[in-house]
Amino acid sequence: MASTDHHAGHDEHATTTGITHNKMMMWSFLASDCMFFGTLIMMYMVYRPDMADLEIGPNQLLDIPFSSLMTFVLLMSSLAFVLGLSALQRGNHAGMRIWLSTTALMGLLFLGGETFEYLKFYDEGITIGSNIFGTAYFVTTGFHKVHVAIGVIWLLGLVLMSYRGRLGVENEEKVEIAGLYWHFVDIVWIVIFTFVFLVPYR
Amino acid sequence: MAQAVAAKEEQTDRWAIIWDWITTSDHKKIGLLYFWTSLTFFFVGGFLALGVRSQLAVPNSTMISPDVYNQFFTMHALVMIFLALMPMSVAFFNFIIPLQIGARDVAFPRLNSFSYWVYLFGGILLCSGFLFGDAPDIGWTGYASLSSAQYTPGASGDFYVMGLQVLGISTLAGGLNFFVTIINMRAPGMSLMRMPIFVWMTMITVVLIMLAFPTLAIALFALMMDRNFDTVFFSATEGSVVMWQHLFWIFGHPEVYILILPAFGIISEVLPTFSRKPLFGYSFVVFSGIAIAFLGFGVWVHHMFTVGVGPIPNMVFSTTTMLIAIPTGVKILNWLATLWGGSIRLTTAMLFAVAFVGMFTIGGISGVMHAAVPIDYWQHDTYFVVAHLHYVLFGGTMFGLIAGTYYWFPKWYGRYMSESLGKIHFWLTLIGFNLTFFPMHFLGVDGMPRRIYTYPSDYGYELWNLVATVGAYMLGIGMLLMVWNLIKSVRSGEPAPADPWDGRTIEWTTASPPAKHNFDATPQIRARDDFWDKKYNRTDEAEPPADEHIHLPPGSYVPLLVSFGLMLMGAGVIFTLWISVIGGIITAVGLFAWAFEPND
Amino acid sequence: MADWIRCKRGVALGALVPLLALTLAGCGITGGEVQSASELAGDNARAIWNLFVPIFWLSVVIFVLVQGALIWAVIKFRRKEGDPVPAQLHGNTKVEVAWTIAPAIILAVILVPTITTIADLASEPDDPYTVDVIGHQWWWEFEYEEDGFVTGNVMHIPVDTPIQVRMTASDVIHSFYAPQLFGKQDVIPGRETNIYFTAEQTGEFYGQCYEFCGIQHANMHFRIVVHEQDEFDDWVASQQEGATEPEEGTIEAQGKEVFFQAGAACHACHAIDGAVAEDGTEAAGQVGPNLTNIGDRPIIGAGSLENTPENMFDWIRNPQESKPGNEMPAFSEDQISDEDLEALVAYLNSLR
Ligand code: HEA
Ligand code: HEA
Ligand code: HEC
Ligand code: CUA
Ligand SMILES: [Cu+2]
Repeated sequence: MASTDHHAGHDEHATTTGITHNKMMMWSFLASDCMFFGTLIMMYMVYRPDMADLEIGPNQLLDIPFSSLMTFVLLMSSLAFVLGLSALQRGNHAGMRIWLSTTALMGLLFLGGETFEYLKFYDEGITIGSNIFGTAYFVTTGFHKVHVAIGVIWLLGLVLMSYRGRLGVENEEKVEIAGLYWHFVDIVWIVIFTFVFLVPYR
Repeated sequence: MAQAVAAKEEQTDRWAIIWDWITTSDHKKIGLLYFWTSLTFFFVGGFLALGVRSQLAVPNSTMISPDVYNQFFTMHALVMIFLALMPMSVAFFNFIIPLQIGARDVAFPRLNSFSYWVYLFGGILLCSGFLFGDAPDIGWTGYASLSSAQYTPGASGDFYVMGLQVLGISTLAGGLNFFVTIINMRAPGMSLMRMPIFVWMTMITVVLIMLAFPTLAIALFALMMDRNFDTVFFSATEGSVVMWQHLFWIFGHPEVYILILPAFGIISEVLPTFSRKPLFGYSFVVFSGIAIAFLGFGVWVHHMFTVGVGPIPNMVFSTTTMLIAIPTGVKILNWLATLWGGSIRLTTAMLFAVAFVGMFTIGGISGVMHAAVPIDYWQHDTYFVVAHLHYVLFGGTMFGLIAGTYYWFPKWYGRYMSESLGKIHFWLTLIGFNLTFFPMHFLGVDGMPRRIYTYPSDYGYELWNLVATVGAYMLGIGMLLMVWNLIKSVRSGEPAPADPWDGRTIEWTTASPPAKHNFDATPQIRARDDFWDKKYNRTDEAEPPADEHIHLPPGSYVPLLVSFGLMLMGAGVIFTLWISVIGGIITAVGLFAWAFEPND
Repeated sequence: MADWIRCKRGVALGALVPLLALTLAGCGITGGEVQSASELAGDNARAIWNLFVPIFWLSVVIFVLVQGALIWAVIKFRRKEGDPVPAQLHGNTKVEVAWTIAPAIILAVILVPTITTIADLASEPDDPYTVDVIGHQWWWEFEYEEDGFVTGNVMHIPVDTPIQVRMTASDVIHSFYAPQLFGKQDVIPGRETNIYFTAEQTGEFYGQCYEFCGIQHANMHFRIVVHEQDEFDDWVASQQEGATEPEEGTIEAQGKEVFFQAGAACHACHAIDGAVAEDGTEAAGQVGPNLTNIGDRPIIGAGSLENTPENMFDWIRNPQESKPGNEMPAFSEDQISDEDLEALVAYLNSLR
């Protein structure tokens, strides 16, 4: 919910905490989002012990080297974002556009890689309804993927705004807020990666 | 109402006035929209309750078929909780919070109007099951595997899932909005420990909303996937039927505190005002509120003692549940101490506030009985629980909200509500309430299960069921009286000044009803009960000069559009998916317009 | 005038406390006994009641103190004309701390017996007699695995013997509870739950399903019949023997034929142990309750009706009348004539 509402009334920056409403909203939303992911991951953890004994389950399907690569791509995208933000803060618009586009591209690459995994699973006969692993895996990672996709659209929107000259140094906060979101989505993936992929199933 | 509108512009045209209400982003108007809508839904819920009570008045009754009965009690609870009591709390947040913190509006006015419209459309979606004769009939808790497509085929389960999902969006958006508002928009000088208690309790409530509603959203999402897309989250063979209960109650217990904390806040305003004393132990009341919220996330298994999670978890959750009685007890005793030595004026608002303390205590004590696990092996799913939940929800939350209505009505409309009607309303309600719900304890002792559409005649349940039914009708008459009082007072109530009750907090410094911009000058806060302090201790203080550039955001129809799209998206899952597609397009277009709509 | 009104209100408020206290203390005036948690006949239920009674009296004390203080404060500190503004007392830390600690102590007092009782109720007795319970929408199946037979809706157990009720469900969640004997446990598909108890008296005890399980949750009653040990052994023996075979030429024999005949086909859903049709078909249906001793059961349709021949007739003719929505279909006169149905009822009634 990327609201761009400004608060009603007087001086733009006279908030009680000194943090703008938009940024405070993003922080609050992320607190909520933690609980969305927390619930999904908790559910996954509860189902986890049952998954080891499945005929086709995580032990047969998960490709850790490949998903590590994708994780690496996503992590690096956060770095690219930071470079973009700092470019904007130094007034380097071209640099910002390049780095934010790179970020978005890496996000797309991640999505592509994950879709590739999905298709591979599908070929093995694992669907969202085939067993508890299919259900929990697709819904948990799928929920994350929706977040990444929204992030990519958001980033591309920022690049577009920048081309149209509507994203100056004075509203670099718009980029910062997108960054909060992007980094959050990134960190959540680390948690998912750890619990879904890395910790062995027994 | 008339004045508020006239104050804005010369709008004589009726359609212009309606358009103004539809597109408004003024927190006061949105608050009134919330109030009247939730009151309407309260009557829908009450009507269903009367259906339930009429059916149960005599044994072996065949007045209502079992199928319809199950829809009635399920929808009764859903409507009361999600469409009446919570939104009525939000009505108070809307009207009172910006005034109490000295702000012009909430942080995101259009998001606020969005919340309202999503609430309205979500409510319509949830209730529209009745139009198809297929309203949810699985209990408000929707336990798996009864809620699966196998055991509840057809649309009723989907109305439950999608209705609540859409309503959750409204609640979450509202919660985030008010969190930012309270954190960020307090008048200069209003430190956290100078905030009025109602603001404090609201803040705790919205934090609970932010942290609890996501769990419900995920649970509903998983249920939707199970029902419509073949996943196996809650299947008995592959997933776990008990998982649903865990998710539901991880949300559900914080939810009951979401329902009660605003009422705690209201009571903590009303009791001091009419005792002419500050709240006793302000910081203890604040911190006990925080403690309740914190503990509230660690007690959910007390709804599942009979599930067989094992003796050790049962012991742990029994302990945490009892711990909650400590901060709640602190609150009760502080309210008593506030009354003690005061100069008490028994207005209707005060009567309801005092009765709140008494009735909530009864409900709280029966809650502690449930918390003793072996006793819950007996009381669980009997009418003892029904008694408990109505003592805390009606005797607690609803009494609090009614007290708040009588208390702040003069601020809303610049008129008093009738006190003589109010007193009759109060006594009818107090007596009717106890007649309805106290006998349910006896029924619980006699082992009457809840959620049964009929009972045999030789079990000894007749007398108390009949008494409860009589009580329910009495309550109904009381509530009708309140509505009459409201309508009469809006039209022709005695005019009220800015400060009708000798109030303590700054919403009473501004006109009744307040001007569109709330305060001519941004208030400067020097003390906890700032207005009282100013009246009695700083009498020679000069008025600050009025602010010069008061800027208010224009109205917008976009929130309405987006929420309509959301409702269609939900409806599509129930009927056919192309409705979802249309809804998605409307939502997307609306969001796009929202992002680029000039708002200054 | 004002004085009079004030007095009246005071009286009304004051009347509230004794009124509520009276009703509270008046557990004696609750209505029934058949399913009351206060009429004790089992050790498990007794442990619960023994925990409840002290907590109840403690609650009464807290209740009276809080309501008393509340009403007293409201009456004593009513504002009178010309009262000054009272002292602006903001709080008192010592008092606050005291009344944080006081409830904590009370709760600790409640908690200790609570925890020991939880442990007691969960502890498995040595060598219990086990009955398996399977919850169905909307009836109960009781399986006596050790002794090798199945029955429905009426459970028989020996007195003074530790019983293990081992439960699961075939469809949705149910809950098994006979208030006079033991505390409830949920009956969950895909899981096993247990209740341990010892019946202390012989007799017939009422219970029903306490977890909402769909349209006929209200009519999911059961009975537990507690026997002396020797009586119980006889009952077990008669169950193991299977159904009484009707004598040739009697109306019961005719009824047995109807049970298997095409229009009825009761055997498709119901089992009667040992009943075999002339063509060798066995009555081994698994959809509905086992009917081997149906004539002996006090209730039909999990408590929807009392077991009398007339009610049995009506039940088979149209079970949807007394129990709308249940899983057994109605049988029209085309399927079973009145005469045949009477024979069928006679047959079922002879199964003891
Ligand atoms: C506003 C809503 C609200 C509130 C505030 C509460 C408050 C409490 N509730 Fe309640 N509860 C519900 C709403 C609420 N509940 C609902 C809706 C259900 C049913 C859900 C369903 O199944 O449909 C339910 C069910 C429920 C159960 C499950 C029962 C069952 O299904 O078997 C339990 C079990 O422990 C419980 C316990 C408690 C406790 C311990 C408190 C405590 O917070 C109460 C604390 C208050 C006091 C104790 C009184 C004041 C204190 C003093 C005066 C101090 C001295 C007192 C002592 C030392 C005891 N509640
Ligand atoms: C949230 C708050 C709330 C409120 C305020 C109420 C209010 C009432 N409730 Fe409800 N109730 C619940 C929440 C609430 N309830 C919940 C959560 C459940 C559990 C559901 C479940 O098991 O899933 C429940 C269950 C429940 C049951 C148990 C049903 C069962 O288990 O089978 C009963 C039975 O008596 C009952 C009765 C009542 C009554 C008589 C009122 C009265 O106080 C209502 C008073 C109001 C009125 C009477 C309105 C008056 C209106 C008119 C007179 C006008 C009529 C209108 C027209 C003709 C258009 N409720
Ligand atoms: C489609 C399956 C089906 C058929 C056919 C069927 N029944 Fe049933 N019967 C049931 C079910 C299911 C129940 C349990 C109903 C309940 O109590 O909810 C039941 C219950 C009963 C009961 C009550 C048992 C008790 O313990 O309370 C009797 C008696 C009975 N059936 C007799 C018959 C007879 C006689 C016929 C044939 C004429 C018959 N049934 C045909 C499914 C069937
Ligand atoms: Cu089975 Cu209720
Ligand atoms: Cu709870």
